[in-house]
Amino acid sequence: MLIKGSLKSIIKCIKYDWHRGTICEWKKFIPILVVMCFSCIRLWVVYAQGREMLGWWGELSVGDFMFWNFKGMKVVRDLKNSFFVLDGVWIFFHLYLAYVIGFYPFRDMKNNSHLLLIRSEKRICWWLGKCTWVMSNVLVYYIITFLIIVFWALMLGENEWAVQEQIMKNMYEITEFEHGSIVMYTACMGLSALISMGISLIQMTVSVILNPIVGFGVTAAILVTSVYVFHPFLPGNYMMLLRNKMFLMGNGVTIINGFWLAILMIIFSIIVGYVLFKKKDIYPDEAR
Amino acid sequence: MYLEIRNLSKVIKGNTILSNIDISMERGKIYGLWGKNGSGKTMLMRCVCGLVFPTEGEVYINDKKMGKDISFPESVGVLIENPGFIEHYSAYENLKAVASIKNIAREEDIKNLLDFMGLDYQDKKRVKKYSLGMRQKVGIAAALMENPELIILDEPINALDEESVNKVKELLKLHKERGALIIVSCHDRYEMEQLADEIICIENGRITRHINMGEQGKDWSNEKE
Repeated sequence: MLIKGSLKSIIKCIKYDWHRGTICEWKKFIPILVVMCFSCIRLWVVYAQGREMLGWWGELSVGDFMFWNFKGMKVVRDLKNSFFVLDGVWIFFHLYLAYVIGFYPFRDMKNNSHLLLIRSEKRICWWLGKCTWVMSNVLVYYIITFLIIVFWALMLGENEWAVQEQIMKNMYEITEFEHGSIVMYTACMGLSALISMGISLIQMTVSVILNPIVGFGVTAAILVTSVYVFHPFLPGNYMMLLRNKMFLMGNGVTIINGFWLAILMIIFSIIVGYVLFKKKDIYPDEAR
Repeated sequence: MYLEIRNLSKVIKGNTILSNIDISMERGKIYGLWGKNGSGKTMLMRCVCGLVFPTEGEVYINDKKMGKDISFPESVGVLIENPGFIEHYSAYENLKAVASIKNIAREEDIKNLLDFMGLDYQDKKRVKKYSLGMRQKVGIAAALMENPELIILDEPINALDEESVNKVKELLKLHKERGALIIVSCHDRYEMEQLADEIICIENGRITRHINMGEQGKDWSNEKE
């Protein structure tokens, strides 16, 4: 009866959070929509220029659009004769997600504690509600991105879901890679989303216990470190297809390792976050 | 509803905010917390709500210990902070959203309460454009709409005009007659006298006096501000 009551409370918290933190704030998804549109069009322009000036051939597929947006950056140490180029779209995608997630849980705790927190009856109900909100918003973020990319890919390219060999060679100098669309989509969408959930939950824990600025800083630090350091324990590496074993033959990070790292981060954040939140004094802004 | 605070203290970074607070409160009464700014009134309210954990001592509500048996009072309406409403919703839409959490308050209850407070429930004006006084009224409505057993209001009549103050007093008296336990803090001496059945004077985190207005009302007149 106790567990049933708590479950009901958690569901009510989730509904309220979804309404208040997502539906009412739908406009915050617009920038990523715009940036992804820009990114897809940019790929088409770049490829058109390559065809005209460098004699590239073949049509861009849905897989090529996906790869372009989720490729990330090559491993720094492997760039002997090339420049290291920061992928602005990749960085924006993940930092903006941190912004989307960043402020709502803290604001709800500080400003709305007498509305939701106290009505949730137990701190764990509020906490689990927030964790669910974070994970579901990450999912929404990725689904929007996926749909935008597919839309532009079908508009500007061809209805083919695998990456094209000649395009991988022409654009990224990748001559050898593992084939298979299902694996690639699992890597770029599924694993990336799971890793993002783990990072976002860590961010939320830090935000609620300390403050949102520090939480955002922690996320930025994880991402930036991952860009410059290639290590299986740095989660950002699993969100870059160029560092995946499929495209970095023999040396890249694997989907399985990424999956377990993500699960570990998610469970760790939920448990440790609750233990810290359970005994946290909450000082709302006072009424005047 | 029965509230008992036993030997409660709160120390933050070496500063004693509350010290040895011992009070018992029962249903069907309005308790006024009286004291200067920084005396500890709001901190005491936060401890009773479960938002803050005491350094020492305990809070019991209906014999259930806060922080152990329960995280928060089971039936409570609170206004301690600036209410954080959904800015682009009207007052009615905001209260409906909040009411959906526990599903206790009916739409009729919300409409009647808003009308009573002088806010038209059909008004589509967004809360974003509300004055401080109007927001305060919505906050009070949110605290009272579910007819809670315990009501905690921190300076509810701030920023309200005279007519609204009278309406709030009328409402609180109605809830008191219903059997709610009400804790209110207020700076206005006259209003405190009108409203409270018992006045608890707090100074530097300690209770200096506990006055039963029925028996000792005259002594309250001599209480220094």
